[in-house]
Amino acid sequence: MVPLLNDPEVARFIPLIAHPYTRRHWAAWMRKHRGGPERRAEGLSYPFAIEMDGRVVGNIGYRWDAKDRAANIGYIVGKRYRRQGIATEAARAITDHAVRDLRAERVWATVLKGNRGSPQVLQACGMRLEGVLREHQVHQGRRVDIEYYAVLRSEWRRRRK
Amino acid sequence: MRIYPIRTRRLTLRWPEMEDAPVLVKLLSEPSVSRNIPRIPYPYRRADAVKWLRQVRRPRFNPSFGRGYDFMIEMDGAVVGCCHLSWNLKERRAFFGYWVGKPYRGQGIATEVSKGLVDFAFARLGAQRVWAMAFAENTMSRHVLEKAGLMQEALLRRNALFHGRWRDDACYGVLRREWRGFR
Repeated sequence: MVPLLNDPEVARFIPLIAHPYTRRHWAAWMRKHRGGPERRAEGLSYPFAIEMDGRVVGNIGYRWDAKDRAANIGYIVGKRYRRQGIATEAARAITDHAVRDLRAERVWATVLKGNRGSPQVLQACGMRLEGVLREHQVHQGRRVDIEYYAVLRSEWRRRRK
Repeated sequence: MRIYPIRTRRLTLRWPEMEDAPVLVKLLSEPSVSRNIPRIPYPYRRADAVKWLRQVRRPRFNPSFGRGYDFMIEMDGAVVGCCHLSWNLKERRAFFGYWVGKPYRGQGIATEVSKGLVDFAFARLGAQRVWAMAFAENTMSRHVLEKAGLMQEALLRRNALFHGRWRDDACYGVLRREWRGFR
């Protein structure tokens, strides 16, 4: 996982990932999650490694807000494994799991403006752009716009028919 | 940085005291107030007021909103509502919210509070961005946010389940370079 995450392009669009990303960051993350899903004010988060042909190619996770029945998803695919539809396949699987098994009303994600790959993945999950929170965060020394994407339970079920 | 009190033309936004419990119960027993504000229970009892006052009188930190401050809104010595300001220092971003008791509506109190908090965030905290949210169906509040210089940036569909109904959330924001100063 460390070489996949230690990538300037990942760091550019995913504020949560330190850069450079070292074994030490990974070890700290593993320690924090040893007791199972991380419990935060916004809900429980569930991380997954994405494996293809026995190889780790990325990760995906979602945070579940039980009160508002909403799943917030996020993912990273290693540079060498991009442009093969891996993120799309993983994001669809998580969206389907959230809607079917958790009975989510809403599945959503945020994207830093300028990230061209992710909107395509989210649109493939039926998500629509709901708006842009302007200059909402400081990332790498600049204020960045945050795009909000979401698909509703009714929309996802219609697509699956 | 001293936060309390914040003064506007007619209003004082002050520290909540334990003695505010009865007025909270009185104003929040009117359903038209709490039906628009997530997390305010209805019916609203004394125990709810005491619990809330205990919470807000302690320093609070939320990873996305930052440090949270709650205020009683006072006009001519009477409590007319409450407001809230969160300050995320790392993102230089402030968030605010408010409610005004039913007997005090139609006097521009919410607008005066909003302008006061926006001014405070930009002028005193050095915010680069100030934002707020309202249920999409709450047209009164959306109008207030627009009068305070914020623009709608997003509409999050079915973002909250409240009193058994799904609500859309409208997000509003204003940037430092757009801020004119209301005083």
